[in-house]
Amino acid sequence: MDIKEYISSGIIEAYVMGLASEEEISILDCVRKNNPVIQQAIIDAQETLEEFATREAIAPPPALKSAIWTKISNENQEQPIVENKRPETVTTPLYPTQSIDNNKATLKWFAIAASILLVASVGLNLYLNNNRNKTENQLATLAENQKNSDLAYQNLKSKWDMANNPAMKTIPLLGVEKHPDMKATVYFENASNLVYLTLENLPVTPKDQQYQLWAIVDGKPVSLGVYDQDSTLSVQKMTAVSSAQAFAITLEKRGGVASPTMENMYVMGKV
Amino acid sequence: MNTQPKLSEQEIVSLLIQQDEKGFNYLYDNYAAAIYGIVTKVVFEKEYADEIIQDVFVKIWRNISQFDPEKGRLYTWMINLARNTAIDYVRSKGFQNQQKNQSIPEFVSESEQYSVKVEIDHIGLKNILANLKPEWGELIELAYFQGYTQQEIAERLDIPIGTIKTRTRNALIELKRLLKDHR
Repeated sequence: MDIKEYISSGIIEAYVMGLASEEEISILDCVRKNNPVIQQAIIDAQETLEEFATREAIAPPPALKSAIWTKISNENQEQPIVENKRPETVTTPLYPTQSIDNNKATLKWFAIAASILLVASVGLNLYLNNNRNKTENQLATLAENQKNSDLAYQNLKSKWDMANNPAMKTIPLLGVEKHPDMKATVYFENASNLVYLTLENLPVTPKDQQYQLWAIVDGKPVSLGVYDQDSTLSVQKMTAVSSAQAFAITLEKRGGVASPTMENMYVMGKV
Repeated sequence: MNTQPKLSEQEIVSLLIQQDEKGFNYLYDNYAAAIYGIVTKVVFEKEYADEIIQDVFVKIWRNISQFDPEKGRLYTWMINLARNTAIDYVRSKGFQNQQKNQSIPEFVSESEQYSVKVEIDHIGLKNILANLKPEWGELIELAYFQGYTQQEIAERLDIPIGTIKTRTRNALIELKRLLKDHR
C-alpha cells in the first residue's frame, strides 16, 4: 500500500469525523497498529478536533454539575456492578471508538477468520507448489544423472570392447615434447582397416578449432578426419586406413585441413 | 477551558474506574464546557443541551472501562461520546420533526442565530466554522455534527461520493490552519 496515497485519500479525516464506513474502519484499525505514520496522522487529526472543541467550549449552567453527580450517585446505588457489563450507551455506532454491537463483532471475527484462512491457504499453496518444483527439479537432475552414467557406461563399454577385441590393436598416442601429459588412444583393426579414436587427456578445444587425426602412411600424413567434441560418444569412428606406421593428432581449424600444422601436434604413437 | 489540567489522562481514567468522586469533579471542571460546546452544536437548543450533557457524563462514568487508549486520547473519546449522544437525541422521535425540517443551505444562518442566542445567555461563541469556506463548513456540519453518512451527504449536497473524502481532508486541514492562526 502506498502510505502517502492512502493518507491523501482523506480516509483518516473521514475516520476521525465519523464518516468512514465499517469496512474502512476495520482496515484503518488494522493499518494503524503496524504503521506509525498512519497512527500519527490519526492522532494529529484527532487533536485538531480536540482543539476545535476546546476553542468552541461553552460553559454549562453551574447547577448542572451537582445535578449530574446526584444522577451518577443514584445510578451507582440502583445498579451497582451489572451496568458495567452491558452499558446502555450502545447507540448508533457513528464513530469507531464507540463500542461495536454483537453482530458487528461476529462479523469482525468472521473477517479475521477468513483472513487467516486465506493466508493459510496461500501459504499452503506456496508450500506445495514449492515442493512440487523441488521434486520436479530432483527428477530432472536424476534423469540427467542417469543419462550421463548411461553414456559413461556406453563409452566405457565400447573402449572395453575395443581393448578386448583380439583383432583390434590399441595404439596409445602420447604427448609430444611440448605437451608431455596428453594422451589419446587409437583402436586399429588390421583386417577391416577400421580406425577408432578416443581422447584421454587433451584440452577442450576452442569453438572454432578441432582435433584432427592423421595416419602416417609411408612417411606422409593422411587425414583420418576430425574428432567431434560436441558428440557424446567418446570413442569415435574415423576414416579407414591401411598400413599406417603411426598416428598423430594436431589442433586445426574447425572442419580440418589438408596437411597438418606440425607445431600444433599434441600427441602421437607408433603402430 | 482555561484550567490547566494537572492530572494525566491515565490518572483521570484510573480515578473514574475506581468510581472516585474526585475523578468526576476533575472531569467536569476540565471538560464540561468543551462537551457542552459540542452538544449545543448538534442540538442548538439550550434545554436539550442541558439534558444531553447529563447523559454524556453518566455514560462516561459508566463506560470508562470501554475506553481504549490505543485508539486515541480520552478527550477524543469523550468528544465522540458527546457527539453521538447528541446526534442520537436529535434522531429520536419527536425531536426529529422539529429539527429535520431545517434545510442545509440555511445552516450558516442557523448558526448565526444560535450564536446571537448564546451571547444573550452569556456564553461566548467564536464559531470558527463560519470562517471556513462554505463548502467545508457545510461538510463538517453535516458529517461531524449531524452524523450523516457519506452517501447521505453526497445526495444532500449533490456531489459525487468520491469527492467527499478529499473535501473532508481539505476541510480539516483548513480548520487546523485556522485554529493555529487564532491561537
